[in-house]
Amino acid sequence: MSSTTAGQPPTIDVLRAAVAEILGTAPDAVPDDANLVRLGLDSLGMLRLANRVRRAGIRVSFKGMATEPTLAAWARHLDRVAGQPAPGSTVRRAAGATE
Amino acid sequence: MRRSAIEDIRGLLRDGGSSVVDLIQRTLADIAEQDATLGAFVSVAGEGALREAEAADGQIRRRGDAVWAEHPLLGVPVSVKDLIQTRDLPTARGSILENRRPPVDAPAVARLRAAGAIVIGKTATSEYGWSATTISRVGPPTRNPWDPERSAGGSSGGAAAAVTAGLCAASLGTDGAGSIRIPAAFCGVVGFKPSFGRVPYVPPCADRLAHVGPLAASVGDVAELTAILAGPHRDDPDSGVTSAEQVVRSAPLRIGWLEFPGTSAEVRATCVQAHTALAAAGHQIEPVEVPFADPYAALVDLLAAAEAAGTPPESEPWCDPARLAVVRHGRTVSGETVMRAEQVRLTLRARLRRLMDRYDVLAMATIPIEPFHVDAIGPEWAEDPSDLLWLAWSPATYPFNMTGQPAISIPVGRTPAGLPVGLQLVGSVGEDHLVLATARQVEEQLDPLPAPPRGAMKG
Repeated sequence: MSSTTAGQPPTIDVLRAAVAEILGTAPDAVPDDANLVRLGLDSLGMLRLANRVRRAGIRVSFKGMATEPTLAAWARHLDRVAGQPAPGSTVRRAAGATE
Repeated sequence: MRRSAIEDIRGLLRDGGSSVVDLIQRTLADIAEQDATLGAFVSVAGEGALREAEAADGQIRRRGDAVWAEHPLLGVPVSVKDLIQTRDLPTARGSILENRRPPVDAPAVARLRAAGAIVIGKTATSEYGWSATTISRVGPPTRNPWDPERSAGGSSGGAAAAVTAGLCAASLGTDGAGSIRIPAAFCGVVGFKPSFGRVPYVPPCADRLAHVGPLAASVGDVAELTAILAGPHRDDPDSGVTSAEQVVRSAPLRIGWLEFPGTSAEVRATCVQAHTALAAAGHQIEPVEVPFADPYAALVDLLAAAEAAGTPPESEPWCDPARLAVVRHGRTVSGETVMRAEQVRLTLRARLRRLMDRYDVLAMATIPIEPFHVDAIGPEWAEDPSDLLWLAWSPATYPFNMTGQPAISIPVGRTPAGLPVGLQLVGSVGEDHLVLATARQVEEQLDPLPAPPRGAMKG
């Protein structure tokens, strides 16, 4: 999630790259509307992504991501919560968490 | 480097990114969706796990961050191999015969629960853990998440497959001849058999080959779990190994590389990555001819005698017919033969002690071959149980049950067929920390395996 700015939701392509890394596949093999669970992303993988997004200052919830596991739905979910920074999140914390 | 699933969960729960209930509900849903095909679980906690999750959420609300100091595994979903007793879920031990042991948590389970872990289910094993597969009369065999036509290995095969498929963060297994490390290698996860006696095994096994240990996605997770599981318990008189805990040795370590007979070209080629990783960590690697005679015949006599002792003739109609071949051999094993086998064990222990004067850590492929067919108890040449070759294909694992040395299997890469290969690291008795530290260094040098191909499991 290195191209994420603290407080700004990652773009759909940043999410795509992060999912592709976990799945060991090319980003273009992860379409916007594909069910990511069917592509091989398990709950712990989603949990890891939720952690990364939260560390970047976006107050995403694991449940919100797990309910509709597609990149398109995640991008909408992230846009909705982008205006509510996570309590205690700071630029320092977000920067320290980039990977 | 592989990410710690336990740290991920702890991080998200502490940060308010998920409730424990949401996490457990999702995990249960994943099991419901995937396990009909995978066959990793023989029972699932369901409502009981959700009640524990609600209680965990209550603790987080009341106590905030302070709760993790006392319960470092709070809300972490773990599974327990069905050979290990639990207070709530049934324990079938891979058998359709009634289990008359009391329904109480084994010490290892109690320690995980005291640390806050939630037992999500019991995982498949072969009957009483006799074979290094999960074939039993209780249910279908566990399939390998990388190729459903192949075995997950065993006897902690359900445990390894469940961790690989993300159906729990970690699993508790047992290892009497390789039963943690073999499925860990076949499925591409980390499996650790600590020094004999470090983690209590209750009720204890008279063959003194059996160990309890963790399987997880990363070396860090396995190390954290081992610290929680370790320590003496009055019901296992052998438990209590604590020596050499704090001895620290830094690179370069002297590492002896062993290659066992029958190593396939695919496994050998994949292991090159392990050589590179060990060298990159600054260690000195020296190839060693396997410096001891294969103790397989002695192992067979010890295990078969134990199987026979635990199998009254009247129970035979309900037993796995393949295991009965071993039981029948066990009934022919005399006291004299058992003592000869014990002599082989002592000689092997002395031989390995001398070897460990020259090397800090031994390294080798965990298993010389790729996973075999899901319905088989071994490769083709070891398929017939009456040949008593049911563990002969795993010559790098059982010697270290006989010596009680700490041994870990970590995923090192995949063969051209996409099947994981495990690297085994073995230390001196009591030097579990050195094995774990070396494994962590190797892990840091290697690319993590990707998620297994989910489509293959959809049938």
